[in-house]
Amino acid sequence: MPESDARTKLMRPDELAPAVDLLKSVLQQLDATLLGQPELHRMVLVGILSRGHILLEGMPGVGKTALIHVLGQLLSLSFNRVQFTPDLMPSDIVGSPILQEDDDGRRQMVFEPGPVFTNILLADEINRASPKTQSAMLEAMQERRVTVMGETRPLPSPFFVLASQNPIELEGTYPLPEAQVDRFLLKLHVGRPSADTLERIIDSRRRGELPEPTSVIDQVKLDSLFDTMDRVVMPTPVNRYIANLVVSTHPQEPTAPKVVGDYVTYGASPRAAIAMAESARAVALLDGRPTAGFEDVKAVAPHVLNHRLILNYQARFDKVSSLDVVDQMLNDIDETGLELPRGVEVEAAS
Amino acid sequence: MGMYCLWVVRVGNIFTGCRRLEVPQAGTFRSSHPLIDLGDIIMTDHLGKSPLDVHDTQAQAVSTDLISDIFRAAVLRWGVLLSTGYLLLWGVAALITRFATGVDSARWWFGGIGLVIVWLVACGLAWHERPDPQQARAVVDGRRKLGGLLMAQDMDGFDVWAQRLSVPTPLRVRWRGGQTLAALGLSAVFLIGAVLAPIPESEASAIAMNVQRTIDSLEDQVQVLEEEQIIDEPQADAMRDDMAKVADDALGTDPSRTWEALDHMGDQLDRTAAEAADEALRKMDDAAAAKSLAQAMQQEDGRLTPQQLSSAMQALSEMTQQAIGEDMAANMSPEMAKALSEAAAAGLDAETLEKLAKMMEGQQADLKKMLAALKDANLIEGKLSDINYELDPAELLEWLESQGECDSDKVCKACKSALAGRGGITRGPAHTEMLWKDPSSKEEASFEPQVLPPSRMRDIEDARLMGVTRAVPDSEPAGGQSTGGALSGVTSTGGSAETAPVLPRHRGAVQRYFQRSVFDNDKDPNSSTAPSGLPESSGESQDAAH
Repeated sequence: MPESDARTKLMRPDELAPAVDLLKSVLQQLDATLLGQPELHRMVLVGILSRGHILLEGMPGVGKTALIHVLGQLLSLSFNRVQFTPDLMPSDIVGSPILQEDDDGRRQMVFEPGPVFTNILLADEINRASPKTQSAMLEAMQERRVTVMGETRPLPSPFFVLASQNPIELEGTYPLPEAQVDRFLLKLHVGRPSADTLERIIDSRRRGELPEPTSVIDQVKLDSLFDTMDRVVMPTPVNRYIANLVVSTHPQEPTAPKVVGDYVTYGASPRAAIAMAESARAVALLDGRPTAGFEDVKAVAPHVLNHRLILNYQARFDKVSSLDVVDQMLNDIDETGLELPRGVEVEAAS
Repeated sequence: MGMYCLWVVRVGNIFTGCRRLEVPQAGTFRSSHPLIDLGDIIMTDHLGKSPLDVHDTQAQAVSTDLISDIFRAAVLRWGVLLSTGYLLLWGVAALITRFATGVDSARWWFGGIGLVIVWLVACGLAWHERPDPQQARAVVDGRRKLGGLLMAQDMDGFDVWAQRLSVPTPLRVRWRGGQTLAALGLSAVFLIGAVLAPIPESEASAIAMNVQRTIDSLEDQVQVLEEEQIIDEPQADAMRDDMAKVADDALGTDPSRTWEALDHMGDQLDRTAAEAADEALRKMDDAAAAKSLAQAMQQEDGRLTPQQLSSAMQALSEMTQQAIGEDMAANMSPEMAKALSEAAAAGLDAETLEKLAKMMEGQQADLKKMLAALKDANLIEGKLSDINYELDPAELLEWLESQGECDSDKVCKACKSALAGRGGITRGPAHTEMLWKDPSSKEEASFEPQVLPPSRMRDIEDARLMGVTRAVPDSEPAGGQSTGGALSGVTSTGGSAETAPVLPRHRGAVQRYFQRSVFDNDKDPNSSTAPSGLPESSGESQDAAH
């Protein structure tokens, strides 16, 4: 469908229904496989639909790797896992040319692709690698290609980086560079399961083995999902709301709420606005709507913005997290941008 | 105030549109989104319309109603704000103008027309603040969490989704204007107080001063002067015209001008009357002396020398002419006039002398009657003297024999000096012989007791409204401390004097009054003096009164 039609015509329900059903089945399988994290699964799916990279943060053993592993199985995509360690070198990720002798006995340099040449790359404990190695991921994540020895090689499509990291307070970790953090569409926090969830896990998982997915999404279905995703309409007021949100993360802006001025040093980049729009579309698609609304933006804004806000020492002193700042921003900024007369309020009658 | 607040609240409810949008109940939903159903939808349409029409109309109506409600709230807000400012300005302007110019309170209520303009301006300002339809749809979409569907109302394919929309909660536009409404109430109270507060300056012009009683009194005096032929008819008419003009111009806004004019007219009449009284007393003296001389001449039996007789006749002729005055021809027969003109040479016979004596007696009576009329009209004050400067004819004849020659002045002086010791004012020589006669009558020597009018008004029923002036002098209670002048430091014994302070705004008028009196005295020193024979109390009493 032409892009102009996508902007002026809403999808019919029957056009939308297959994609929604497909996504529902994926979500159901994820929820059945990994217990107790339905919202996390939903957001991971949002990231996949948005074709973005996801950074999972959580303590060891909470199921980050398992989640990504199951997701790779469900999507029927190639999957590689790299365990990041301090001595990991960039060539260990992107690959390197090696000297090989062919049948004729001639020796030549042959490029040996690294684990990055896959559809889904699980970068486990990415913050344990040195900044040099972390930087090796920059081009791959943004350009979806790798340049080695002056030769650029495209990565398979789709290409997702699903990284996990331990909280930076742990010893032996390196904070990710801001440039790399910004390339992650979402940063999701993987929490600890509750006692009930743990009981179910203990009851249904022997030796930690995960059940095999019953159905998978092949490349064709995934492409159709992406096509449907492209036809989700983003109304102009919602676009404006996203723009206002991103602009308001900068303390220098006059529209910035007080919490931003108090605790934020640097705000989000335009890439955050794009990520938020795409994520909002994905949430709308998951909800079975052809349009994205304000509540979709509010649903993804904490995950899109929380790793993009650089807080000052005052925030650390007051123990204010970026999620707290984003929540306060969502409360302070009117989504419609409507400038009502002073003292006039629009409220939903009870 | 309570009713006013209730009115404001009711108007507020009307404008803020506290009404709920009733929508048909939606059916079953199966979507993960609480408002969207991708499965089968059972719509309940109690209006008999198709679900599509219902939702399309509702979606349109929701945003339209929201725009209207916001517009009404903005109108109310701007209206109350501007009205508050306008009422304050209105009240301040009313207060200042009423103090400065004394404009009537009732006229200020026309300022209410300005409120209409204020609310029209409020409508204009609110018109610019109302949201456009897209914004309104965004507000409805956001508040009702419709997932952007309402914002896509203009897009193709919305009709299919419209019937899957539900409107679970109505929107309400509220204006939190409690403080502004309170300010409006306060400004309204201020305005009412500013317009209705009693200000003497503003009430001064309500009615003109009623000085008709004073005018009537002055006209009566003019009538007396005209009847006594002291002033002629044109002069009297001119005075009446001036009085009528003063009565017409007697406004409470400038009372001093009216009082000054009335005082001036009364003063003029008093001076005219005083001059006439002076002349009348002089004529009475001459008439009395002429009468005595005529009777003495009747008894003359040759004791006077021809020269003495001739000079006595000459004096009699002069005194008669002075007693009658310029209108001698009108009051005397031609024969009598001819005989008097030739009296010095030919003398007068006994019959003529008798007629002359009676004529002088009648002249005295006429003059006394005129003075009584002037006194009754309060044109002159004091007690009329009953003293007649008539000398016994035998004594006068004896005096004439002792004189070589005599003239009219000598005869008059002789008549007066001969009466020394009988009371009255004498200006005779210091060597006048003292006369020891019978004890003086107590009746003449003691003051006649008089009942003075009450110094203060007893009852309000006795009051008479003359007019409302811009400054009512405060009067101190009777018996209070005197404020200055001759009575400075003297405590009144009660009921005798009432002192009123002269306000600064009246000092100019008082000063001009006394300057004019001094000027008039310089020009005619005799005009302000009381007539001889009358106590000189009129001038002092006038000054005290002013």
